[in-house]
Amino acid sequence: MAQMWVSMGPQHPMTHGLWRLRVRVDGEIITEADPDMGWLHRSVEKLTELYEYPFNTIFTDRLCYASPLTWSHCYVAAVEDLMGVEVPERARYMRVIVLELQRILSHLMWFAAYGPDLGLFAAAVYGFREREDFMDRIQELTGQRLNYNYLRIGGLKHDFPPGWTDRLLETCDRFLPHLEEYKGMCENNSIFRMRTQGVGILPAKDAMNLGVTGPNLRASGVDYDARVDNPYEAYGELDFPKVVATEGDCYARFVVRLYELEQSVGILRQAIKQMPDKGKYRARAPRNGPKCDRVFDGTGVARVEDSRGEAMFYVIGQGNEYPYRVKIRSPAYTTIGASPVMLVGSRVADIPVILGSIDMCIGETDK
Amino acid sequence: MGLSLHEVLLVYLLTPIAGFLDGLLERITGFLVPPLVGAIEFGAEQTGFRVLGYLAQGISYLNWTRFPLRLSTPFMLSFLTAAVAAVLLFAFMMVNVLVLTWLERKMFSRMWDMRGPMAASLNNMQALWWVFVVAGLAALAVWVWVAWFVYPGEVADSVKIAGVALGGFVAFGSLLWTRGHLEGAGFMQQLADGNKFFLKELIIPRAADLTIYNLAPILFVSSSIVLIAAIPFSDGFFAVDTSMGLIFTMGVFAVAPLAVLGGGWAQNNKYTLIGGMRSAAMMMSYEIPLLLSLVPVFIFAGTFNPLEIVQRQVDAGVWFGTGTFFLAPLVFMICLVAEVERIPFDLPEANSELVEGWVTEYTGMRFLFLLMAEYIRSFVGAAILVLVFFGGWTGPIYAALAPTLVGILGFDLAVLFMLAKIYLVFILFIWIRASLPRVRTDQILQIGWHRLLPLALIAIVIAMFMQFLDWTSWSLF
Repeated sequence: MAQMWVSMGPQHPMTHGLWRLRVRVDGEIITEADPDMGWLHRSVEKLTELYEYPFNTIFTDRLCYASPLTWSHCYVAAVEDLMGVEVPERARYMRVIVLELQRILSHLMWFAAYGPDLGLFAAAVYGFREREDFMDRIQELTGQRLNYNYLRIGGLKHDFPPGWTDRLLETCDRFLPHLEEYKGMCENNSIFRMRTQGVGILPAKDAMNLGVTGPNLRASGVDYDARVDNPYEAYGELDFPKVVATEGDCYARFVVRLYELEQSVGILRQAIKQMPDKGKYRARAPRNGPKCDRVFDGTGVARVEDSRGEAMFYVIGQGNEYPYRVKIRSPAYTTIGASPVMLVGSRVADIPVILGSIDMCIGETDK
Repeated sequence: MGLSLHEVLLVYLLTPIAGFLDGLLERITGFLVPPLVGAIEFGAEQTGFRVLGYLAQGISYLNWTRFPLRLSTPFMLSFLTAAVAAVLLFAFMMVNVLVLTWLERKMFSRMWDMRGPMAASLNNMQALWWVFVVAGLAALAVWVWVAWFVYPGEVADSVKIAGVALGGFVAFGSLLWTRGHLEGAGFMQQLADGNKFFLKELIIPRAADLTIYNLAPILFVSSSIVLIAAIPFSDGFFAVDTSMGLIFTMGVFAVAPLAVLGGGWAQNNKYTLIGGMRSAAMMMSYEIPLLLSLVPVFIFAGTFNPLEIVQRQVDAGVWFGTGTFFLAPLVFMICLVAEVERIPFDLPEANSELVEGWVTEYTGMRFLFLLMAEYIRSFVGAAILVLVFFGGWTGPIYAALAPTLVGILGFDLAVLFMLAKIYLVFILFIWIRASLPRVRTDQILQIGWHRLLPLALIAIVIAMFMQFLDWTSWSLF
């Protein structure tokens, strides 16, 4: 068979969103891959210039449907840096708790999406079953199941409801046995390992050169986690190991995310234990941002470990209640740039396996 | 051996019916045609229309007594028998497919800890709905009969019209009133889905190769239905008793990849093309071990006739599956999953990368029949497994129960016992599908050539040794 271009997407079961991948195949072997992004562009960066600082969390919540809290957190952290707001200690711990809760929700969403990519629909059902328990907790907290709108500049919208942390700990206790079930279903499943081991290898050097971050980078053997190496909020006061694998294949990426679920539960427990019982959950933030000039910096930046990698917000003030410019760095967008390295040489059947393993989210990618 | 379905139909059903119909036709034509012809000829004479004359001449030729063809002739009887047997087997298969798909969904809901189909069924409300429809139409008919024919001229026209309007309102209003929540273990979901597919548009790609595009589903579905021709479900329920039964079935099994390849090419879509190519590539990996794993049975039984294979197992008092220490059934089972294209070997329609694989461009009833054909193939595959390795409709439990059942009911339930075994094997298929991911094309080639083929050959060697040692007389099992 002669080589041919196959266009996958923007509507395709593999894409998990609205994007397009063009691959040139020689029979089943991929000889060239060309990701084509931008189908879901909503001009979030421009829109944020039109609204006052506190209202922009509405847009940042909608950057990623799977982890709105981490994105809003990145934005408010950048604005706090811009305005010089000091977040109260209790609020910093509360933020760590909701961020890790969000990470668990996001990783479970990824697990539920990754199973059907391999034809293992059981993973989807199991993943959503456990996610539902955590969803109930976050619904009790924020009143929402999507786009929680919980973070505020200087802290959080409100304090935890009474007894909520105990219920969260109970949920974690219920969740960990199910995690063992996942390991039995995937790690001990030889077909699963056949499909993922040695597939879509991303060498550490390529990963670093192409700007890959987060679980995908750690799966390639690079020991970098923004929560540890560049601590923000209360992460510096907590003690947790980085989850690193060395192979750089789909299986390594799978294992890193699976064990990050365990790690997140550990961080949650630690943070709930160390969190001060009394204290403010929110500091008063000024209405206006500073003006950006050469004398006073007037810019704010925040780099956080999102569920998909290192997210960054860069905010420039203009002296009034509106930001002058908001720049978003999406980890998924840079990771998709590395997808040709993983795809070329693989087979057509590996495409969903590889692209599922990097955990795409188009909302944040196209902004 | 009992009577086949063919013989039962021929002797008990169709011969008397055909004789009766022949007599009826003769009688009708004898009574009706001459007066009719006479009346038309009279009309032709009176009016002078020559056309009516020709019409009368034509009708007189329709006189059934003049035709040499009768339904009760041997040729017509055998033709009718084959047609009726085919329709009956098809209906049997369709009922089984409905049950299989329902069973699969319910088993998935158990295994995946989720809710399966639950809501769709006909409940009291729905029954009431049918009562309203039928009662409205009946009332309409009765009213028309009474008002127009029994008391003509005695009912005012306005009342007549009002009565018709009321009956029509009840009948057709009920047709529109489809509200009501439904129960019944979700079985009616199958009918609802069928209804949905029936109403879908048949979309044909503009650049499709129409001949092959239309031919491929026919080939796939009809070859799948033909599979059941040589499968006996008990010694009293089978269509064909042929000494080449298993060879025929396995041969027809191998027709489907041709349809998949052709259909995948003809749809002019890259996904379907890759799916069709995968089917052809896959066939090389599973077809040989599939056939080789049947060889032990041929060694033990010395025949290709499934009826006789079952009889040999009864005579020997053991299942042939035990003869190779369950190695041959294992290989056969794994190859069967590939043959019927289910997860983990459903590469031709791998829906995560190939959208829906080779069936992507087939919509509506074409898609439904392709889907159903796969369940027919699973059913037949499970039936072969049960027949040749696990004693078919015979077995220890059934042997203990059969005399009592015959004593109570007057007939045996061998078909039901066979079906129960088939469904058990199918539940195994469901279990595999619920818990395993899909393998890759090169990996199934690896599995087929490096694992299954040697295992099948080892099974043959074991079978030869066992037969040499006359294992059936050991009475170990």
